[in-house]
Amino acid sequence: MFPAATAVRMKIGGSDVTEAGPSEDAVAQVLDRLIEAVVELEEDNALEAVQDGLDIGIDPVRILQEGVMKGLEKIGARFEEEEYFLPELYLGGQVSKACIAVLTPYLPDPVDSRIGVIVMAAVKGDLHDIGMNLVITQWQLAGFEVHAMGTDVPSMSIIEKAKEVNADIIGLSAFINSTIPNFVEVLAYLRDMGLRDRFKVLIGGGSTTQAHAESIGADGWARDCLAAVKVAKKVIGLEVAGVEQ
Amino acid sequence: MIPLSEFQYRSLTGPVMKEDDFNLAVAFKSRDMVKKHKIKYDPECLIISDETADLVFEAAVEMLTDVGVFNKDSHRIIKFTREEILQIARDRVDGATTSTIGRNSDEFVITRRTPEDTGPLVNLYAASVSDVPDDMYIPYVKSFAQEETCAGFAGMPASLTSVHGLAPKSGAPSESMVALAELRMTLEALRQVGKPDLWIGPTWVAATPGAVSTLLYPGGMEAHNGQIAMHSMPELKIDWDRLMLSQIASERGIKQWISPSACQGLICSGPAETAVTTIASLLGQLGYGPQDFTQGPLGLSSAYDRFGSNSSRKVLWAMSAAKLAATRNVGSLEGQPTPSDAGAGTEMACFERAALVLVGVASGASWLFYPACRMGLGTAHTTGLEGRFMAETGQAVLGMKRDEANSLLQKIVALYEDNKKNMTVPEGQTFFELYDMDKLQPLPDYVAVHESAKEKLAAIGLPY
Repeated sequence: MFPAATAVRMKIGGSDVTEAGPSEDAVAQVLDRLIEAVVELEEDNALEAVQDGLDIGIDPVRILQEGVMKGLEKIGARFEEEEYFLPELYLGGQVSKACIAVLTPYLPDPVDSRIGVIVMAAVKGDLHDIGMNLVITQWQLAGFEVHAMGTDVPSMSIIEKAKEVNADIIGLSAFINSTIPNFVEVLAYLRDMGLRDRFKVLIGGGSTTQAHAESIGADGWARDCLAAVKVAKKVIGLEVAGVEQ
Repeated sequence: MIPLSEFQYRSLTGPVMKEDDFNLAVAFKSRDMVKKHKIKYDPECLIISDETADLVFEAAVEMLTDVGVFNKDSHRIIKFTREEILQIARDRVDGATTSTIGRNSDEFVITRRTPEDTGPLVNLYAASVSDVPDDMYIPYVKSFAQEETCAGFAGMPASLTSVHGLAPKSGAPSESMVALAELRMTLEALRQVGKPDLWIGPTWVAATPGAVSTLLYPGGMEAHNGQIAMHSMPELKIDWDRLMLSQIASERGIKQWISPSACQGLICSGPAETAVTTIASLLGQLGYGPQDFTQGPLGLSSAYDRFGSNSSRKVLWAMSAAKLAATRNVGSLEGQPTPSDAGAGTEMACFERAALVLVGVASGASWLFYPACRMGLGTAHTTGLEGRFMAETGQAVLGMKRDEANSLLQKIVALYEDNKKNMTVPEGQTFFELYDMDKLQPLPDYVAVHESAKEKLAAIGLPY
């Protein structure tokens, strides 16, 4: 592995790029364009800004954090303000993923840059996934590696997957009352298999509440996809402000 | 009408699509339709006009024709032609205008209404998902059923959290065990209050066809007292279980619970998009749902926001739009849910419920239901007195002119919306704290809260 800035120099011709790098004005101009393109869900413009940033030698980590992620934050804010809705969150995620795909070869090893690994599933019997997919997208964009298992997933399969990918967190979703007991089943399996301390377990969906999470011994609950990012960071020990419960 | 077999055929042969792509198609089509038909949300006019209702219907027909219904199991789109959709609506409009629930002295007739009709409203009590300890289940159900205006329930009156220490686990025997226990205790409570043939409606805890089938026995859930919930998914989706439940209901002559709804703020961006999507869902469900059933369907064109609340201006508008579009163009016997964000024993709960009742009645609803508190969640957070309030308010506003209803609704919403904005919604108390448990009657302090709320509502024009 080599530092990202070195990667950029190598990518665009090494010796053609000065050590001083681009001016701050040039950087700000590109990042502003990138942020705006992400917020406006304009994939072509976003990709063009990403490429321009790489071409003038902006640190790709900076392009990611101060461009793509900043744009996503603004999309999240618009969602909170009810200016944007689920389709915009989804499309914003698609635009961001396209940008990240371009940046990935120049970024530090993703295994080192990811902030945690999550296995996410709607529990057995539950076919609702609108909210769950939204949570998955936000987790991915926040830097988590997410293994999405879909809906109607047997409890033991979830645990096997968590073991296989060495997850930090198991995320469980349920919308209807009669599938909520499967949260308890997963937790009971973990306890009886001696794995309870190995994974943090977060729950969410439909009629679940923080009180519910506490009553079954889950490690956290979030009311929506943005809160889910904060809760996930919190349970793995990353400092976050304003975790809503 | 479209036979169920044809629905399955289309489910197996329609265009393949990823669910995310279908969600986007629904979202953007609903926006296109709202723009094309110039449907405007107006926070100062929450009970909509006939003209707007007809635009919502036309937009919904166009939307359903374009996007179809998504089968989550086959990952294919069930397509309809415009003519098929219009025929589905015409069949319903030309169908029965009443639906009978209950039997013998416990029989009630739900009748198609228009917004300013003085015709009867039917009141269905209880808050089905509110759980209650098993030793309190029968008294809890009796406290609802004993109310004079209680014509039955919109689903099992309360939920048990477990039987024999087992929670109701989907697909396992306990799903059926809990549902059966709820049914048997509800029937016993009805017997004890002298209303043995009262309408119960669907079970909520049993969602799989297997578990629902165990409730259909002589003396249990029958045609006169029971209903099969399709548990239809929001935003134009179905799966094989929904179609199987429809098949079971048709074969047993049991009413089907049709509940198209859409969530404002997620796939549907605003109130107008929510209303259009709701009606498109209603038409899609009628296509396969109650086709062999001549006395219905009961309908529930409903909306809620992304936090589950029903009483904001945007959701009230969406409910009015969907309900009026349905009653005018589809002829469904529409129900109006009345759950409050606020807890029982608070004036805010009464104000929210009054707003929901008013918007429903003035938009053509034929029946009122779900007088739950705290959106129906938690243990015993609703009571018979909340149902009584729902019924009294419905009676009070029957026949009100729409202009008058609109003006009154603005004043009612103003009584509580700051609490919602400021996150100061009162939690209230439980049934156990608000009722005399020996006499099963509301305590004087609780009654006083309701009387005070009614006085305030009367002062702004609600004619109790």
